[in-house]
Parts: sequence; C-alpha cells; structure tokens
Amino acid sequence: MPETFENTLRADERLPRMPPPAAMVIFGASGDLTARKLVPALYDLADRRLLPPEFAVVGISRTRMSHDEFRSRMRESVGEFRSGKVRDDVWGSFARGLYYLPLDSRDPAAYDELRRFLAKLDREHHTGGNRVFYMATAPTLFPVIVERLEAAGMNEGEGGGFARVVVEKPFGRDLASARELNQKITHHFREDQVYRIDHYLGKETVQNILALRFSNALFEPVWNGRFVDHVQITVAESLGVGERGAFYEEAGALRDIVQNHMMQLLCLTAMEPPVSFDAESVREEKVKVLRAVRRISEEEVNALAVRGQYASGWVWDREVPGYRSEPKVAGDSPTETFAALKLFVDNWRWAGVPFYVRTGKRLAKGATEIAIQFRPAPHTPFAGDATGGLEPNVLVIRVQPDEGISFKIGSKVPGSRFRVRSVNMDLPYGAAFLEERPDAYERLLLDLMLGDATLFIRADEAERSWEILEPVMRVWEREEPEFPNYAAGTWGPEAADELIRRDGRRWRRP
Amino acid sequence: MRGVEGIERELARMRLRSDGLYDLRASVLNLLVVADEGLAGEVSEVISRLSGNHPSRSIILITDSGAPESRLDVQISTMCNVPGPEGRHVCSEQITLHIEGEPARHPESFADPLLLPDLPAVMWCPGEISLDAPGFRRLAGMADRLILDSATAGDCGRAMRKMAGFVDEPGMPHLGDLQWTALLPWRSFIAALFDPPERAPALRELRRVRIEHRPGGLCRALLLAGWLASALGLHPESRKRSGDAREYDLSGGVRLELEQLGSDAAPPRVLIESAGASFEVSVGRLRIREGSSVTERAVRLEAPGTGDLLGEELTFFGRDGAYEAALKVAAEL
Repeated sequence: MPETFENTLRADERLPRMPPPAAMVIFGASGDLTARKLVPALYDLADRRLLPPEFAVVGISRTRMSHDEFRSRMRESVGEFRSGKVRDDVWGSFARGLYYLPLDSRDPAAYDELRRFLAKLDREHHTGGNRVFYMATAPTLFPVIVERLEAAGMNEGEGGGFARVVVEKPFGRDLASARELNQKITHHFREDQVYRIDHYLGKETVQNILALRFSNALFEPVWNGRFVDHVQITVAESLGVGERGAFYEEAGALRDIVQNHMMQLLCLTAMEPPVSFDAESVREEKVKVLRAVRRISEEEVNALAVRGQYASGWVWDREVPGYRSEPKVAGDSPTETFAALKLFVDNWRWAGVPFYVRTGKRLAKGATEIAIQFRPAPHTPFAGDATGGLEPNVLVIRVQPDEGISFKIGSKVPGSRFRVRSVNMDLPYGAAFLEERPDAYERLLLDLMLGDATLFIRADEAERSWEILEPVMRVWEREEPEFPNYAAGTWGPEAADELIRRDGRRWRRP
Repeated sequence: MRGVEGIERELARMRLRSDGLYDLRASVLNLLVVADEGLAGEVSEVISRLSGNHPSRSIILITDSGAPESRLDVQISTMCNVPGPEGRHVCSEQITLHIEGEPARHPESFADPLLLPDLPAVMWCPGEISLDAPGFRRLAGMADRLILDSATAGDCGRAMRKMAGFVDEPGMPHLGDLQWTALLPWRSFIAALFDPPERAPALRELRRVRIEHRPGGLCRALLLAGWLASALGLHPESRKRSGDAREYDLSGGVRLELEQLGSDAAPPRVLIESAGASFEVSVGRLRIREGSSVTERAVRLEAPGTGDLLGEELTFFGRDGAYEAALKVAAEL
C-alpha cells in the first residue's frame, strides 16, 4: 500500500473549509438548473476562494457544443442569474476547469468516453480520482445514469478517491416510487455515496432553527408537552403557480411543499438534540421524529387534513386569476394549492401536542414561520381584571421574510394599578448579523464536496415522509374535491379554520 | 454630559423612536480602540465601515498623557445602516473619549464601566504600541482578544519577539495581528496546492523557500515563513543577512530566503521548491513546474484594506494556535 502524506499546512484552523480536488460531472448540463443554480453557485464558491485550485466541472448533455461554447454559455448564465459583478480574473480561472462533452446519458458507450476524460483530468488537473456525479436531469433518467456509471466502473473513485452521486428532489411521487428509486440508486451506489438535495435545507434561515434550539439552554427545558400547548408551522406564498402550471398539476401542495419542506421544518422543530452535528446523528434524530408521527387512517383524513384551491381574488393591489385559469392548468383541475394537517408526534416529549401545519399559494402574504404556543401560566396571582390583555407566551421563529424570532411575554403596564398585558419582543437576526448569506446551492455544493451529508436527505427520511402522507393522498385522489374553495389573497378555505377551531384554537396571522 | 450614566442615557435617547418606543439594541461585541490623535480620523472611518457588519459598542480612547492639563472630551454617536430589502437594520454605538494629562495614564478607568456586559471585548491598537507601556496590561487585561498590527512597529524583529513573549503571559488576552490576517488568502491558497495526494510528498522533500516582500512587508514575510516552518516542523539553524536580504538554513536541509523588493510596484512572490517540483505564487499568478511539465494560471491574492482585515479578526474568537506557532518561529528568524 502506498505511503500517504498528510498536508500539515491544513492544521491552520483559520483556513476556510476547502474541499479536496475533484471533478464534478453534471448530467443535464444544457438545462435550467445548471445555468440558473449550479454553475453560478460554483462561480460564487470560486469567488470566495472556497474551491480548490484543482477543480473541474464536466457538463454532459446531448446538445452539441464545444468546451468553449459551453464556457461562453455558462459565462452568460453567471452574469444573468446571480447578483453582483462577474470578475474576469475569477471567471478566467474558474472557466479553465470547465469542460463539456456532448453525450447521451442513455448510451453505455458514453460512459467509456467519460471515464477516459476523467482520467485525463486526474493527470492534467490533479483532480485526485475524486468524482461527484450531479443528476440535473429528468428523474426518469436517474436509475439509468447510476446503472451506467456502475457498469463503467465509476461508482467508486479512481485510485482511492471518492465517488458521490447527487439526486435532486422530487424523490419519487409517492411511497412506492420513492422506494423503487432508492432501491435502484442504492443497488449501484452505497447510501453513504448518495446525496439527496432539497435546497430548502441549505438556507441559512432553516439552519438557524437548529442554532436557536441547540445553542440556547433557555429553550430546551420548556420545549415539550409540559409547557407547549401546540405548534403551528406555516409556509405561505402570495404568489400563484405562474409558469409552473404543468409541473404543479402533477404535484400539488402536498407533494410540492408538505412532503419535503414542511416535514423538514417539523423535524427540526420536534427532534431531540443530536449527539453531534455530524450527518448520521442529525439525520437519525430527524428520522426518529418521522417514525413518531402518528399515522393517519383513511377514515381520519377528512377530520385531520384539509385541501383547498384558490379562486380569483385580490392580492395587494391587483386582481389575480383563480388556479384553474392559470396557464397550463386544466379548467376542472382537482389539484390542491392549499393543504393543512393536524399531526401528532407520539413520543415522550410531544405526547398530546398537536402540530398544525399549513401551506398554500395565493395566500394573503408570503411568510414561513414556526410558532410555539406555550401553555398559560398555571396560576396568576393578580386580580381578575389585571390580566385582561394577557395571552400565553408565544415564541415565533420566522424563517422568511425578515428572519428572526419574536417572543410574546406578559409585562406590567406602567401606572398606579397593577395591570399586565402581552408585549411582543421582536429580534430580527438582521439586526445582529449583516454578513452576506451564501445561496442555498452554494452551501450545499460545498458540503457535498466536503463529504458532509448533514443537510442532505437520507433514503429513509424521504420514504417516511411519503408514508405519513400516503393515506391523505389516497383519499384525496379518490374523493372529488369542491374546488375552488378559497379566494386568492385570503388565508385558505374555511375548513382549515374549522380544523383548528374545533380544538379551541385559531391560526396565527403570520 | 457627565459620567457613565450620562453617556448611557444619551445613547438610550438616541434609540428613542418618534412613536415613543425604543429600538431594540442587538450587539455582538465591544470594540475597544486605543489610538493617538493622529490616527483618530482613520480609526473613526474604519469603525464606521465595520459598524454595518458588526453591531457593537466601540469605545475609542484617544490619549495624550503628556499634555500639561487634565482634560476629558466625550463624543457619542450611533450609526445605523439603511434597512435593505431583507429588512436588515444594524446599529452600532461609538463613544470617543479624548483624554489628556494625568487621567490618560489610567484609560482602563474609562473603558471598564462603558463595556457592555456579557459580550466579548476586542481591543484594537491601530498604531505602534509598546506592550511594556504603563497601564497597557491593565487595559489589555479587560479584553478577550488583542489585535495589533506588527507592520506599525519600527523594528519588526523586536516586535515579533515581544509579541511571542506576550502570548504566554497569564491573564492576557489572545493575540491577533493584522499582518497575519492579511496572509489568510495566501495561506489558504498555498495549503490547497498540496491537497492533491500526489503533491503532498513535496512538502516532505522541500529544498528552498523564497519570499520576496515589498518595503514595509517584512513582518508579513516573517509570519509566512514562520507559518510554513512551524506547520512543517522546521526550525532555523543558522542565519545570514546582507542588506535587505536574509538567508536561513532550516532543519531538514531547507533554505529560506527573505528579500525586500526594490519598490511597492513589484508583486510579492513566494517560491517553494521541492525535489521534483516548484511552486511560484505571486499576487496575480501561479506557476507550477512538475518534472518537465509547467502550468501557469491567474490567481487573486490582492491585499485587503485595514477595515476588511479588522472585520475578519472580529469574527474569530479564542486562541489562534497556528498564529502563535508561526509567531514563535518568526521571532527566532
């Protein structure tokens, strides 16, 4: 076995986290994701000096293009899809490692050519036999690509290097298809080589939920059913489906938002403190939450889940069309644009605490937040009329916009009488930190190359999320909805209000 | 405005909004600055720029203990950035104390009561400072980190030796040096050159390191040499000086050369030679020779300004082990 030498210059702990040399192969390189997100994020990493000098990107798609044409296209994308000036010197250095191969990812012969090209990069760019295969293609191609990669011997890096494969969401469209996809991928790559990317987890604001919970001893002792009355998670959008009508018709709110983003927010809110912040510890705790979510029987679906679809209405200063009048949407579409659920996490910490989750398009405003509503103080020693304006404590974690926290506490009203009322203390994180926040893809691509899977989805995480929603999807597919049932610019259908009202509670106004 | 209470009251009044409520104060640190009158303008400009990224209370002590009369002049201000599209609204407080005469010998008595509780205190000395000056240690002892700029020292070698002694003194804050901070992109880039496994052995087979620095860049060059030597476990065995050139024999048969460039116009350059390869890094370009193959490419290693360097330092807390190790070797060079 050859002797390995350690780069002792890396002992300097102030050096930025820089990944090892590697070649990133992007399948679907002529597509939107590559142009809008991947290459701009890689350029930004280069601009921040976070890419190793020995790094190369190989774009692959069927479109015929030379290396220089691809570079030229990507230069335009970087200028168009990121804010800030493109520096010629940074681009020049970055583009030097940018290559393109016009190959059909279905063709087995293409993989021999790719392998030879990567070997050449190892020699000329010192990419060290490390490979990242990014599937920015239609999901139907994922199984084909991983199979071909293994057949060509590229499911392991060269000469002891690593090989990783990146899968974009959606991870299936139901439990069966998610399982099938996972089985196909893990037949050719080990699970620890698979990085399922949900860009939501790359957002600074989402990671801040973990920072708030696990770096402040103040909250954890009261973060349980003894003190928490209920939790509300809202992902509200004021926008409609716009040009995404065709995609949305196949997805709907449940698949597009609840199965991934909302389940992630639920996990981050309800999970136990992980032993460490490594990938397995964090993901294990998240999966435990998903395992603990009480299964909804088909008989319970109509009592615990509400769906809606927007009609025309007024959003701010303009009248907007209903969903069924949006481009590429069927005139009698049964697709839900709103979903609300009442969930329970059946474990020691959360027994009996309802989690009300809701998401929708064309709601009154765009807002993502997690509200922890505490129980009222067990006894107030003040006279009855002294606490007229007092409400239970609420801690709100605002994810977007205006990321921050607010806390509603009781406080004495100045004056000779003893009167207590609720005051909202509002701390925007922006008042404490102005550092530039990296784009979600930038953060995730860096983690991917560093081999840190903490912010990526594990196979069982994706499957458990689908499993929770399976009965709801089955009932909603079977029963005809009465759509549209809420006007654009409102907070969703009346049935959603009723879902929480019958428990003696009401939705917060975000 | 008299005393600490008067200053605090005035700062609170500045947070009072037109609706009668107070703006919430979000702060992450205390920044204690010790400077003389000549640097007051530059300090104020740097802090104003930093205030947007590091909401803090800055206490600027402009002292003149040689003045015949005792005098105290206090200026206070708050600086807020204009809220951007993401609603970020950062405010910082700045308290400037001009202290003359006898009270200037006791600056800690002004700084201590003005520090915000429960937040770290970083002390920055932008000008040349004598670590042995009376009262300096009392003031420094209040800080969690002390940031100096070795380039302001008249004698760089002497400054390195003093600073190397300071890091081991009990009760003193962790030390930082803006010249070390300025090397961060260089360190990061040079370290990355040896990440490919086939190149890492070159560090073991090192033969020669040559650092060409601009006039005034000796401290930075010494720290870079100190970093390479300490990370590779090398120490100086002999030295030779000739004008602006210095040569050292390091352990392991490695020769170290430091040479001052003739003018500020020439780019600083680092040459690292091993048995089979050489790596030449300058501000604008990289040249690698491996066997008979030579590759060249553009790189970006321009020097950041004082504000950016200080801003970088304010994001780091605790002990910088790599810096202290580099400083100790630099002090021996």
